[in-house]
Amino acid sequence: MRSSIFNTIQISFILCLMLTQLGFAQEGNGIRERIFLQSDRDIYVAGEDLLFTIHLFNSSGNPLTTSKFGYIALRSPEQVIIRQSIELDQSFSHGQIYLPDTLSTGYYELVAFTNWMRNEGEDCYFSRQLFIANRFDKELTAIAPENTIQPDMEGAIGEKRIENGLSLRVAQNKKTFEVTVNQEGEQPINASLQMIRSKRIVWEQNLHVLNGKKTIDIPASDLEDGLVLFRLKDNQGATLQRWWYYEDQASAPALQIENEFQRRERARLSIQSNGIPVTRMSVAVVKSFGARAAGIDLNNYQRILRMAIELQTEPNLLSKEFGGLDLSELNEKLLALNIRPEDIAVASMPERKFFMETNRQLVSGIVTHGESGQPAASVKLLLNAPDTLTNLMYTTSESDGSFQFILTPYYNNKHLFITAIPSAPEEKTRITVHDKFHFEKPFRQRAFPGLSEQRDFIAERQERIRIKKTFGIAYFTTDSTHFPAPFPGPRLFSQASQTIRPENYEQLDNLFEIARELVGPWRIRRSGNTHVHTLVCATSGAFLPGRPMLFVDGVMVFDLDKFMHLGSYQIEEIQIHNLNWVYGDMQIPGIIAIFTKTNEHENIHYQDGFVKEFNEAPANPIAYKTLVYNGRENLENSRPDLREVLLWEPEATLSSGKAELEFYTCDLSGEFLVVVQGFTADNKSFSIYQTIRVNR
Amino acid sequence: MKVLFSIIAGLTLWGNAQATDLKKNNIQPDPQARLAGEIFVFSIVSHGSQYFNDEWHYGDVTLQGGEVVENQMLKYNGYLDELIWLNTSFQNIKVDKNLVAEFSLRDPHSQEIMVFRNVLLKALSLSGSGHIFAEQLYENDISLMVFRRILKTGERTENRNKAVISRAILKPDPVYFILMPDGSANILSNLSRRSFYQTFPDHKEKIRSMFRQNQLRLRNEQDLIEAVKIIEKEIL
Repeated sequence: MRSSIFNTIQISFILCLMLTQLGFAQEGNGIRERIFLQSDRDIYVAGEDLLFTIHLFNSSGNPLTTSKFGYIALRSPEQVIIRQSIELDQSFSHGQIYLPDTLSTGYYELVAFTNWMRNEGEDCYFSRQLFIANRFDKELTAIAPENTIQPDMEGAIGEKRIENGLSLRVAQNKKTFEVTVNQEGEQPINASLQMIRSKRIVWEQNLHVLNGKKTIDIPASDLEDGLVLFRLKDNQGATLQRWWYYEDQASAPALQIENEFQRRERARLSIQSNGIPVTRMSVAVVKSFGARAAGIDLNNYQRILRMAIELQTEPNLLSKEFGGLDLSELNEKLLALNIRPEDIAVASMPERKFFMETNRQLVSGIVTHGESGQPAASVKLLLNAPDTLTNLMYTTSESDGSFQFILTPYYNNKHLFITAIPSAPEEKTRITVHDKFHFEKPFRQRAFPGLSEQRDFIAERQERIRIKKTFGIAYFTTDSTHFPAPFPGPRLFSQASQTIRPENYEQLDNLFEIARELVGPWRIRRSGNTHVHTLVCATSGAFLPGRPMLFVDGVMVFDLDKFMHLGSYQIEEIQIHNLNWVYGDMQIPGIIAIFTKTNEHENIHYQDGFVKEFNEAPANPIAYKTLVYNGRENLENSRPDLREVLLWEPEATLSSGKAELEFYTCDLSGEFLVVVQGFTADNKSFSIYQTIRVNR
Repeated sequence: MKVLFSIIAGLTLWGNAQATDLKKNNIQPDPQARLAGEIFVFSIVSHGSQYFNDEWHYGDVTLQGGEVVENQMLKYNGYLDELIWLNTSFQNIKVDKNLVAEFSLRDPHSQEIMVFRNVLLKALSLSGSGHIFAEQLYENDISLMVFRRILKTGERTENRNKAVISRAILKPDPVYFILMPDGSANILSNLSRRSFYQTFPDHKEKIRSMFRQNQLRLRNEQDLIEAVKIIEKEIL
């Protein structure tokens, strides 16, 4: 009993320490995120749609401290071609990227990251290499012979094993691990066999090996999933042999589907959980060609991520060596990994420069002094979007000049007008908005195994795309369930004190006349070469102290003179809010909002302290149109069915542990791959594959 | 053994809970939602207060878009049905009601949190907009709300420093109403069983029997909440 308590405490204590090491219980800056993006294929023809699912791994395990937005870029060695943001729902999302017709044949890179990951630099971004062929490129000369593209081995891990006649071998049975120590020499060995995880010995046993081998059984329950080191040490503490071993006790569901189908035939597949509930699952049936060209899948990635945490290294580095391997291949390859636990240094998190987008997207930047270029602290920055409502947000720059705005969905697909109000009127400032899609490191193409053998298939696919374009065939629709309702903006006031529509009155030529004739509380007068204006308070009847805030089409402007020319025929509406108004800590001596018919806000050009950016909304998930053939008429339909994706169900659900899905085959014959990926309730990922054949 | 387990579990939970707070502070920028309103200079010479809470209470204001302005000093003016905010310049601001979805007031003594929601109820609206701030006493499928209005019930003249002044007599006059799942509101005429019978005439006998069965006498707001729970359970 006492021993049992001790063991429990020991295991719990080790577990707590492990969690700390993994960053689970560290302060905010210690949270790490990595993203995995699965595309439906790795080889495309320009003009096709790329389908993807995206999974975010976050070390905190806490939804409040997990990014809610991901960013995806498609880039060539020369430039970023597509930039897309996507909203994550419980660390997951899916979507589609149309590959423009104009893409030239070559290697491209899909990069995925979160704003938080930007703190750790581009090395931690997820990267997937694609090959895209232009539809009209028949020569395909861009397919480089594989030996001319050197795999990027920088940071690759692998060393020779200790050569002393001793070897370790681990074999997994259902309930135990057999660790066999083979001794080739005749000298008896007294040693200690240790099992180490996170630099701590979690299991140890002394052993004596004489003439041959010794096998020790370790109960599987003592070994958690993940990377563990088996180490044989002599009495002096010297390491005689070691083997990093990855344990992954399967809990994947089972997939059932027939192997062969005819064209336009209904196919059914069923997925049955393996006792452990499935929490998330995506199912796809895609043409085999190019579907697994670059190798790494969700299950591989989770393994690599766990290995990276254990070895305190970057998953991207490990994926070059260990990506795309099944468990036994991985463990074979781990024989060559000869890292000592004492050499593993805990990677420190860089200083936080970018915030986490846990709920809203952020736009960030820096304000500098116009002349010196030094960071400008405590500068008030205003944010407006052109609208028929008067909206305003503001923030203040930090001591290092940095600033950020929290963007609600109101700002989706709108221009952002950011204006700096320096503390002294003569002070000039400059605003630089950080571009999330700016990459410091260029895309360097890597080896793409077997690509040169795929020329014929690519040519065939080019022809299919031509036919699809001719017939105008599209298989995607926007998923209406994800269509968001309009979001209220940060309004400065809800209802103006007075609203005037100049078109209802005699035509007037400029603001001076309009104010004098139509807008009683608004007083404009000349002062030298400029105009100044004030408002009379709606409640007290006295002049409000100071200059009112002036908005044109919802955008705040400072120079009344630039808009004095606006006459009745250009103005839709003038709203006067002549009250002693307060917004946050801003005191506002009344507001004048002019809404024009001629989009006058587009003529706002400031030189200093102003920047205009377009804020593209996160992409909505798409739905894949399923074709149904349920009668002879449909079967004989001459419209070609050239779908290479027969089923795309990124959010499949299991009821009572079982999912039944159906789809129809197309006119293409050959092999298709059924891909089922997801997570079980114990947070283990799975990737299951099965090949089916469609006959003509 | 159980004790040991609970100690370990407790330590782990404590560590994680503390970590969560730290994380939140380090990873997100400060909220940027702002309150908007007019500098408030209204005063009334009265017996009785125009405010539901005479002392400033800390509370959060949720704007129509769902953004929250946290930890502000607030008062609810039941006479004008307006939310008053004390800003950092110590000015009283009448918050633009149409921009507010709800606000909370935390009683500094009892730490009780009262939530007021912006409700469309034309029958009770003072401003003509149709919107009122009503405190939510109970929320489930149906909600029990109270409009904490303060009414001027009369005037009293007084001699002060050889001058005659008129003083309004202000008294709280709460109006209770039930918000049904379809969004309709049923106003309870007073704090009595009869008001429920009038509100739900089709279920009068059942309500009567349930109230008897539960020995429910409507003497205070807590009893009212119990009555609403019974109605929700038995009628809906």
